[in-house]
Amino acid sequence: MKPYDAIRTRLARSPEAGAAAGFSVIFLVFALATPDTFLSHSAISSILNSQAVPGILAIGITLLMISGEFDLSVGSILGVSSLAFLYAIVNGVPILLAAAIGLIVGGMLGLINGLLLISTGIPSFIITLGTMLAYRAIPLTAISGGRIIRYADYSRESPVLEVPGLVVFIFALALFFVVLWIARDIWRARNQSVKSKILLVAAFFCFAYLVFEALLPYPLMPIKIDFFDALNGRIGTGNYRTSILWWIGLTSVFAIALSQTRFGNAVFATGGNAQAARLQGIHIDRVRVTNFVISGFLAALAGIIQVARLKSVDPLRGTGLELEVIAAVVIGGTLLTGGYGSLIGSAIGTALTGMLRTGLVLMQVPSNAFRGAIGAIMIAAVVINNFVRKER
Amino acid sequence: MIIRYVLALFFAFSCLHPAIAQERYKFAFVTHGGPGNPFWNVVIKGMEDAARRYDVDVQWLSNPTFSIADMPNFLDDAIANKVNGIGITCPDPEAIRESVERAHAAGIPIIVLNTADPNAGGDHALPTQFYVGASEYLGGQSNAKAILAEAEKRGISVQRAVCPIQELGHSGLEARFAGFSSIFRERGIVVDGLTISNDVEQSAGLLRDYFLGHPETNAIATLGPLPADAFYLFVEEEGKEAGEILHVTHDTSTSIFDHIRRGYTVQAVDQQPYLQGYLTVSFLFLNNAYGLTLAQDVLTGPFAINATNVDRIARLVAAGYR
Repeated sequence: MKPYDAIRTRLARSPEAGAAAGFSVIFLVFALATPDTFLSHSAISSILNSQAVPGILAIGITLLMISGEFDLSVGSILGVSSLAFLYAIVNGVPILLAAAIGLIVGGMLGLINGLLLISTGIPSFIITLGTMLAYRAIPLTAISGGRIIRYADYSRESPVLEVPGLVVFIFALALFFVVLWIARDIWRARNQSVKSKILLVAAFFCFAYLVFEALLPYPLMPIKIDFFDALNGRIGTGNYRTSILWWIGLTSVFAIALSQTRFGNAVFATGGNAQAARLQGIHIDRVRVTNFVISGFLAALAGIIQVARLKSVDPLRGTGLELEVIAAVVIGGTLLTGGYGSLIGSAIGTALTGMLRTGLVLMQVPSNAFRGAIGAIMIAAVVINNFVRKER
Repeated sequence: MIIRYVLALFFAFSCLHPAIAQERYKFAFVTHGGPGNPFWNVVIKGMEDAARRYDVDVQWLSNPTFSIADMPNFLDDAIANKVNGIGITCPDPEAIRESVERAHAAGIPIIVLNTADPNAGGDHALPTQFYVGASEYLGGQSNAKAILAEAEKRGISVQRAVCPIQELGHSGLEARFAGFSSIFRERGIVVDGLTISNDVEQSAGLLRDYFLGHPETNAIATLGPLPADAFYLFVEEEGKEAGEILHVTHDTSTSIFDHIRRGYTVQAVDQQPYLQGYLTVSFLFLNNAYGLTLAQDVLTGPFAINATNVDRIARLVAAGYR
């Protein structure tokens, strides 16, 4: 086998390879074009901060696309759950309960999508196009006339959670051992790819950082956690935000679940060949509905994380986000036809779209040109992916 | 071979790189709306014309239609781009507070345009220089004064006035309403608030109901182009004469211009968006070049449009300056 073919075969095995290659090339182009600004913390933090919310949405979209479905309604779900969350806090609901309300609303809207799909058999593209419009009507009618609901109109203090130190300590320690135990299990298992081991280490360190960052400075004191900062505040004095950790952490958790669990297998099987999956005893409807609920839930979480930074909700919040995210997922190598895809690829694709925006701004190109660039890159990515995949 | 390609590529980008060219000031506009809405195109034209005149680079950074969530991200991009000045709108100060404070800490001058910081002058004001835009309150007052002057000219007296509000809770519209009624309250004239919508037909029906209940009312102030259309539909269907009900409005449209010419509308107030783009670039340039700044806000509105200037304004609208 010629070396060229060997590389092609190797690339074909990992869906994210195309995105990673494209990412490197574009990174290099921007780094050469604007070396003194693009390689600064200011630019890199701007890219990562802006992509955390679309990145979390991309997880749900990827799971759905691998199982052969489509969700156009995530932008609207994000808007509705952000509104539910903020509306609850400004009306005096305790912060954790308000967050739970937001998440439940998101999960319920996802459940409606899923139930509509399996009960009617209409393609999910049509169903979620309908629910995208229908869900959007909720914030549009609830917040009349372009008004904005602002947290600052009700309070100038950020909501603070006060938790006894011992409780946090025991909880964190327990969680730490659970993670350690799972990690050991996966580590020992056979047929482990290097990729999933790297992922595991990354997830472990993220988690360990969060646990020790929160615990070591205050051993047993009551701990005050600024809710907004925990979700989307600045880390230290730099401009990197905690939302980036949520994005990386959630991507890692779901990537491991997708590659290591029976649920993950079922997702791939459902999208690859639904008939065969059913014969193997996989409840494909259950898989689809679960994915829609996960997608709605993650859209709600992304919305709450966004509110933690913006501290307001307007009726158009999240509009157009769904297409940007789907483009990023497609760039990441996931197939619209199902059965093939990668969460790591989606994360790279999401980072790539953010990098395009910031990079073009640094090159003094008008901001609205970046949508054109995303479109061109997406088509190029699909062409390249198709080319290498023929080798499979 | 490969090295030669890389070198060629590097050379190509070095030529593109702006630092090699003469150092020019670069300014960024970060706003909640953009070229998808015709209103903003006039602001953008003002910005671009000024950029040509002062020989500076400008960038309009916004979602094409409307997004507040995009604003802090574009601000962060502008800071990373080490711009020499930023123009921002402030529909939601908390959403952009951290980014504006970072820009301020980096020594970048910031001017607010079009939508003022609601906390300006107070403890929670954003660290910006001043505001270039219209005063909605003064616009409302200007309209009220125009009605009183017209009534005097015609030798009639205003019995009662109505001000339909199409979007309840919209702070800009409420300021227009407050300005309008402040002048009438001084003279003891009642101003009724009436809740309508941006639906022209439905709102015309609501106006019909209102005038049935209050036949003595002979003055009306609409707060935008669609409510003005609702009023025009109402007078047309009821067969009212021009001047029977004295009408003033905010904003412009071809149908508003037409009704000013025909005498149905006394005055329309405009906020001169071209100036908001043009002056922001001018002031950012003056601040960078000579350290100059202003001690107070610049009001680009209210500008009164009436029968004396409507034809000229209509021509300028067509040319993109209004």
